[in-house]
Amino acid sequence: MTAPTKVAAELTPDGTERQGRKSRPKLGRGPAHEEPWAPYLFISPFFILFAIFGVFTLGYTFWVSLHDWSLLGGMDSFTGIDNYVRLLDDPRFWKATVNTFSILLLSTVPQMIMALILAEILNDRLLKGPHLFRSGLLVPNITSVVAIAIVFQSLFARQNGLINAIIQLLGFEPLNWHAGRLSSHIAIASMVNWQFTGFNTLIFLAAIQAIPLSYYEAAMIDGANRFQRFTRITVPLLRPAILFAVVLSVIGQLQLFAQPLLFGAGAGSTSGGNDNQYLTILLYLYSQAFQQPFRFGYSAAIAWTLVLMSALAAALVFGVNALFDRREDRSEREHRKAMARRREVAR
Amino acid sequence: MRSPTRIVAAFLALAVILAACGSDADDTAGTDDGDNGTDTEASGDPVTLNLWTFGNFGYDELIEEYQDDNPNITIETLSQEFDAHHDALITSLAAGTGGPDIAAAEVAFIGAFTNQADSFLNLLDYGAADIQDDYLDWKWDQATTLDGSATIGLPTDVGGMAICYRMDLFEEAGLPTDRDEVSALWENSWEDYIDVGIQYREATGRAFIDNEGLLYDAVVNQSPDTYYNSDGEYIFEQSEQVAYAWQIVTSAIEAEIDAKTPAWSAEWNAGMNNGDFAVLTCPAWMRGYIEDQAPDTFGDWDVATVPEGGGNWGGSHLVIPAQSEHPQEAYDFMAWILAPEQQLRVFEGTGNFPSTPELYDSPQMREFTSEFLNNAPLGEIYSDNALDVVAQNIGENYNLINQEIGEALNRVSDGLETPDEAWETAMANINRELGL
Repeated sequence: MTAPTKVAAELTPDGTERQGRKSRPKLGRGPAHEEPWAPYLFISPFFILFAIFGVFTLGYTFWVSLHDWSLLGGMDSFTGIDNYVRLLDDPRFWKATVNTFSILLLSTVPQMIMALILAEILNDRLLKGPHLFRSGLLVPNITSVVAIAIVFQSLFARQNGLINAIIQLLGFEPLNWHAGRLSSHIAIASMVNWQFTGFNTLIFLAAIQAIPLSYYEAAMIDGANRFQRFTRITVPLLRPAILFAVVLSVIGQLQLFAQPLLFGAGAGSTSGGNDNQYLTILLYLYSQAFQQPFRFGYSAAIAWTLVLMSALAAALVFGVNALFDRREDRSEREHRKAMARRREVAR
Repeated sequence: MRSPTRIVAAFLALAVILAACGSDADDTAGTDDGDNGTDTEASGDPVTLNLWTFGNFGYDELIEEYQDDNPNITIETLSQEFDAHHDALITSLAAGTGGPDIAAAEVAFIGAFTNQADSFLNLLDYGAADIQDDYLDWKWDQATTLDGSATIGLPTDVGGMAICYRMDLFEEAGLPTDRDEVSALWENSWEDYIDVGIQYREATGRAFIDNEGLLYDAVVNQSPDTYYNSDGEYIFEQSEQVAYAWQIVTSAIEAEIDAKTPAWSAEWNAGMNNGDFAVLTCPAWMRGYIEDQAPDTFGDWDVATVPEGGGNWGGSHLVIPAQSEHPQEAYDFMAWILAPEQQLRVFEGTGNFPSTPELYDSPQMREFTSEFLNNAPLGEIYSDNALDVVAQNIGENYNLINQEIGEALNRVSDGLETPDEAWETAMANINRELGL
C-alpha cells in the first residue's frame, strides 16, 4: 500500500503539469499539430460534469439566495442580501452553527487520536492476522449511515436503551440523551466516530508503512523507547496524512445531516430536538427549504454561508499546518547551526 | 453525507431526465386536448398516467381492472415513503416539470397545496362539483380554496379518531374492560380521561398515555378554530381550543401519566409490546401499525370512543399537478378509483377508511370488525366518528405551527421549561418563522 494521501493531494497539480509538458514539443507543423488538444479532450468529461453539477449549481444557488423564493410558489422578488441579513439575526441558525462545530470537535479530535493509536497497533509486526483486523476496520465505514443511526438511536434510548441500562447498573440516574445539548452532541459524535475511525486508521496505516524503517532503527540505537518513537518519528512524519484526514473530516462534519435527523426519533425530527439541541446547519437548511414555510431562497443563503464556513474552516486547518511547518523549519535550522558549531568546536 | 449543492444537482439531473421523458408524451398529447375521456377511449390513443403514492393505498388490483376496461390507458405507479414522496412531489412542483399526473397528498400537506392552487388542476373545471355530495363535507373542504373557486383534490381515506386500550392492563389496574364501559369513563371530557390515567398510574405504577404530542393532536383537532379561522387569518395565539388542548396536555404531564415515548420511535414500538402505556390514540389506519409492530398483543387491545366527540388524524387526497399532460384522463381515472364502490374495496383490503359517507350505512361497513382488536366494531366506531368531525381551515402553515407547539410540550415533558415558559418560546418561534 502506498500513501493514498500523496496521490490525492497531488492529483490536480500533477495532471496540469503533465499537460504542459506534453504540449511543449511543437517542433514540426506536421501531424502533431492536432495533438495538443488531446489531453484536454481526455480530461474534459470531469470538467464538463463539474461545470454542470458544480459551478452551475453553485452559481444558481447564489442567484436563488438573492430572492424571496418559495419552493411551492416560485420566485417572488429580488431581495438582494436580505436573506443573508436575516440569517445574521436568526437565533436558530446560530444555534445550529454552534451545534455543528461542537459535534465537529467531539467527533474529529477523538477520532484522529484513536485512528493514530489503532494504526500504530495494526502496524506492529507481532500482530497476528493483520488483514482480518484491517478489513474489519472498514466494516463500519461501508455500513449504511441509516442502519448505524437506527442502532445508535436505540442504544441511546431513554427507557430501554443499552447505555442507560449500563448507567443504571452502575448506580447512576439514567440520562435523557436527547434533552441535553452536550449529551446529544456526544451521542451523535459517537456515531460519526464509530463510522469513520476505521477509514482514518487505514489512511494513517498506509502512511506509516511509507516511513523508512531506518529512522526507527536509528532511534532504537539511540535508545528511544516505543512511545518516543511514536511521538517523535511516526506522528511528525504523518503530518501530511493527518492534515488530509482532518480536512476531509471537517468538511464532512460541517455537512452532518443523516445522523442528527435519524437520532431525533419520530416525525418532525428535522427540528433537531425539541429545543434544537442537535440541529445542524444542513438539517436547518433542509427544513427551511422542504418544509413549511418552504423558504427556498433563505435556505440557499444558508447553503452559501455553509460553503464560506467550509472554506474558512479548511483555511484554518491549513494555517495551523503552516505554523507547524514554520516551527519545524526553524528547529531544523537551529539544529543545523548547532551541528555546524559543534563541528567547528571539534575542529 | 451529501453536500447541499450535490442534492440540488441531483434534483436538477432528475428534472432534466424526467423532462426528457415527458416530452415524448407531449407530442401525442397535443391532439388529445379538448377531447373528453370517452372520445380518447374510442380513438384509442395510448396514454400513460403516472401515479405517485406513499405507504399502502391498496390500489394495485383496482388499477389492473381499470387498465383492462380502458386498454389505451397505462398507469404507472410509484409508491415511496411518506417523506420521500412529498419531497419528490414538492420538488417537481417547484421545477414545474417532472411531476406525476396524479399524486397523493396527505392532510399535513393539503393545506399548503390548496394555498398554491395554481400549481394544480382545478377539478371544478372537470365537473368535480357533480360528485361533491359523495364525500364528507369537511374532507372536501380541506382541498378547496377559502373562496370556493377551486378544488384541487378528491378525498381518499380519512383517519377518524378513537382510543385503543389494553384490556389486560386495564384489568390489572381494576378498571372496566368492556368497550362501552370504558368509553363511558371519559365520554364527557378529556379531564376524565386524565383522571382515569391517574387511577391507572396509582394502581400499577406505570404510565397511561404514550406521549404528549399525540394527545395534543387528538384534542386540538376537535374544533374548527385552531390555527386559522375561516377567513384564513392566524388565530393560534387566541384560539380557545389550542389553549384547552395545551392545558389538558400540561396537566397530563404534571399528573405523570406520560410514558414519554416519541411517536414512530423504536421505543414507542417497543412500548406497544411491553405495556409501557395502556392507551393509544387510534385512527383507523393505526390498526395495521399495531398489528405489524406488536403482533404478540393479539386480542389484548380493544377500541373505545374518543372523549368529546369527533376527531381526525391522517387521510389523504389525490391531486393532479397543473403540469400533467393528460388532465382529462387523469381526472377520469381519479374519479373512478375514489368512487364509493372502489373505496369500499380498498377498505376491505387495507382498512383505509372511506371518505364517502353513503358507505357508512352499508352492511359491509357496519359489520366490519377486527379480530386483532378483540372484534371491536371498527366500521361502526369510525363511521359515527367521521360524521362528527367539523370542517377546519387547515391553512398554509399548519404543520409548522403544530410542530412548534408539539416541541414546546415536549420541552415541558423533559423538564426543560415550565408550561408558561414553553408557551412563550413557542409563540416567539412561530411568529419569527412566519415573519409576523
